Parts: sequence; structure tokens; C-alpha cells
Amino acid sequence: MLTLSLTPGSAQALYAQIADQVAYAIRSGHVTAGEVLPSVRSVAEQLAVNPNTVVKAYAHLEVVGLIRGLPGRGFVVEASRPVLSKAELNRRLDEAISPVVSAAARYGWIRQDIMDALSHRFDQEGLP
Amino acid sequence: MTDAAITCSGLTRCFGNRMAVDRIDLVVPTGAILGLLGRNGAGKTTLLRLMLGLLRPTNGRVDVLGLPAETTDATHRGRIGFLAEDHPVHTWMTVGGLAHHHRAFFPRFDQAVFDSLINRAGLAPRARLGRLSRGQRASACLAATIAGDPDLLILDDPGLGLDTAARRDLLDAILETVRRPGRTVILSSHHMADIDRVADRIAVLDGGILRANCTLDRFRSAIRRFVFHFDAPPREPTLPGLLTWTSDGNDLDVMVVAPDVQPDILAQSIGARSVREVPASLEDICTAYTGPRRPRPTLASTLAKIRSTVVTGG
Repeated sequence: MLTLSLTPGSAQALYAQIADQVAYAIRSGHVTAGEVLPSVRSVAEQLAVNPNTVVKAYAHLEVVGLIRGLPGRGFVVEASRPVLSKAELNRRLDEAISPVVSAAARYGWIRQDIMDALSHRFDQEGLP
Repeated sequence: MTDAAITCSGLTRCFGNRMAVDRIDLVVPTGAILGLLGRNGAGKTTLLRLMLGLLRPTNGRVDVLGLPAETTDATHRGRIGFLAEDHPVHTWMTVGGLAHHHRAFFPRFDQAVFDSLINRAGLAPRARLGRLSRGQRASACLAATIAGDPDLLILDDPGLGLDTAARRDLLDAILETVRRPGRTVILSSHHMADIDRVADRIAVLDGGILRANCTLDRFRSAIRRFVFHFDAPPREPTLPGLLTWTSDGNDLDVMVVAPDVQPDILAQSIGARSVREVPASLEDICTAYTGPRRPRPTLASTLAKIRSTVVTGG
């Protein structure tokens, strides 16, 4: 089951918010390989967004290899892992953690606070 | 039928010696949802009124659905739906009467659509328009406009005065409208979240001039916020595309039009020691882009002022 929740007007484009959340649902196993994603129209209706935004999100996920478009059937979740270079994976990791690091400076969290919180979340999500 | 729902070329309108709309070239493709942005007095309403033929251009021209905007032919008019900013109504008319009134002008008027929108807004058909609240009046006008099933829907700040649920209905109605082929929507709004949800493209007006005409994603990625760190307190920066800046100690916080620039190259060019890019919300971007180009007071300097004027206990 895919549940999406958007923050329109924020710094992140809506298509990127959708793509991130679907990618997360796939990587964390909430949506499994072979499963058909909800149609562009139904996602657009559910979220009250322009269907083109959903099209763009799905196209993005297709480019990174997480989903595949089937003519007349919509999009299914791919079995294989996405092929990204090590450098690109590192770049994305760096991009993902930078808000945490800036927040740490702001709120005075120390290294250990973040490590603990991170490993707690990994446990919760059942990630290795 | 052409590919453009609206074509403005050199469109200009003066009021006295003030240029309310200044040589605007703008093409709105059929099937698009265009978000019209700009501060109060930027010329949004004037531009919409020119498109509707309610105002004559001082110079230039605007074609709407293939005909000049001033065309008064009833069939042509019946293809254009307009929701005015302040929702003017005949106060003696009832909600149901409003539908009757619109049906006379819009041959495709769909009573079922009207009834369902009215019902969702919790309005009784027998209620007098003059006794409705501002938001209820907005819902009634919106229902009548949408039910007319126009090919071109022009909405001037329709979200104003609507509650959250009614605004959601508004967005649904807009999206539903363009799902039918050949329908085009132009929506002026100050509500960036709404624009983000529905718009394909945006046009930004500033002092009557069209300052942006692009997709929202393009706009969002072109205007960026950087915090530069210097060895000493920085002076007023000279950066191409600089919109706003504030300084705080040795930091310089800028909003700048810099679509394809590497942050470190930018930092190098102004002699900063380091730089970090900070995500900016659509509202921040819009404010910086259309706001005055001068430094704003920093949080730190404001806090210092507060501390010096307010005595705190504990």
C-alpha cells in the first residue's frame, strides 16, 4: 500500500517529493517487486495535484530503474536494484545527510545523538 | 483551432501615465494550467481583464481562442468562464438563480455539476447571495463558473476567502476541468501551495512587466539561496542576478538567479571562504524575485535590538 503525503510550496519540487516517497516505499519493502503502482490519474486525484507532476515522478523513477512502464498496465516495481555509480550513490548520500548536519549545528545535537537516532530508525524499518 | 488558447503580443495598457501592463508577449498553450504570480498591483488583474476584453489595450493585442479579445459574439463568450476577484453578485439573486443566470450564457451549462459543487459547499439553492459569507459567495460563483464548462477558465485569485475544504474543491475542480481535452485554465493566486499543486507553467508579473514565463520546476531551480562564509564581515556583494542579501557576522546570505552555477565557483568569484546552498521554499523564491532589491534586517540584528529593548527575567 502506497501512502503519499505532500508539502506543496516547499523547497522540494512536488514531483521529487512523490518520487522520493515511492522510492522509499520500494526500498523499504512497503511496495514489492512486480506490484503495480496506482495509476497516474488516481495518484493525481488523491493528492489534488496536476497529473503531469505524477507523470514526471514516475518517469524519474523509471529512469533510475526502480519501476517500469508496461503499455496499458501502468507502472510495475522492478525486481533489480537500481544501477547507480558508487560516486553517484555517495553524492546522494551526502545530499541526504546535509540537512541533518546543518540541523545538528542549529540544535546542538552531537554525533552520538544522530548515530543513535539513525540506528533506531533502521531497526524500526527493519533495514540491515 | 490553434495550439494557443491565448496569444498576447506587445500587450500594453496604461492608466494615465502608469504602465499597468507593459509590452507583454505571452502564449498560453491549449490544455495548460497557467499560474499567474505577482505582488498586489503588479498588473495581474489588468492582464486578465485585457484577455477578457473588459479593457482595451493601449497598444499591442491579445487573441483569445483564436479571436481578438474584444469580440462580443455570444457563442465565443460562452466558451470563456471568468471568476472575478471579489466575486461580485446580484445580492437579490438566489444560489439557484445564479445557475439559471449562467445557463443563459453558457450553452454547455451542467446543472448536475453545479448542484454537486453547491451541495459540497453546504449551500442551499434558495439562499440569497447577498446573505452569504465571502467564502460561501466565492463557492457559489465558482460552482456557476465551473458548471458552464468553458474552454477557457480564467480565475482571479479564486482561493481568497475560501476555507481549506473549499480550496481543495477548487483545486479538484480546476484539475477536473483540464482533464477534458482542449480546456485551458489561467489562475492568478498568492497561494504558492495551490500553484505548486495545479500549475504546469507560471508567469510572473512585476510592475506590469512579464519577468518569468516558464515551468514551476525551472523557476524553482533557477532561484537559489546561498550562505557564503568570509574571513571578515562582508560588504555589499556584486553578484550577477543578485535578488536579496543579508549579512550576519562573517556570513552573507543571498538569493540569486543562478540556474546553472556551481556554488564553489560562485564563492570563488566573490572571495568567500566557503559556501553552502540552503533550500528555499517557493514563497521565499517568489518574495525574493518580486520584492525590493535591498538588504533585509537580519534575525541576529533584530534579536539584538529586541534584547536591548526588552528586559527578560530568569
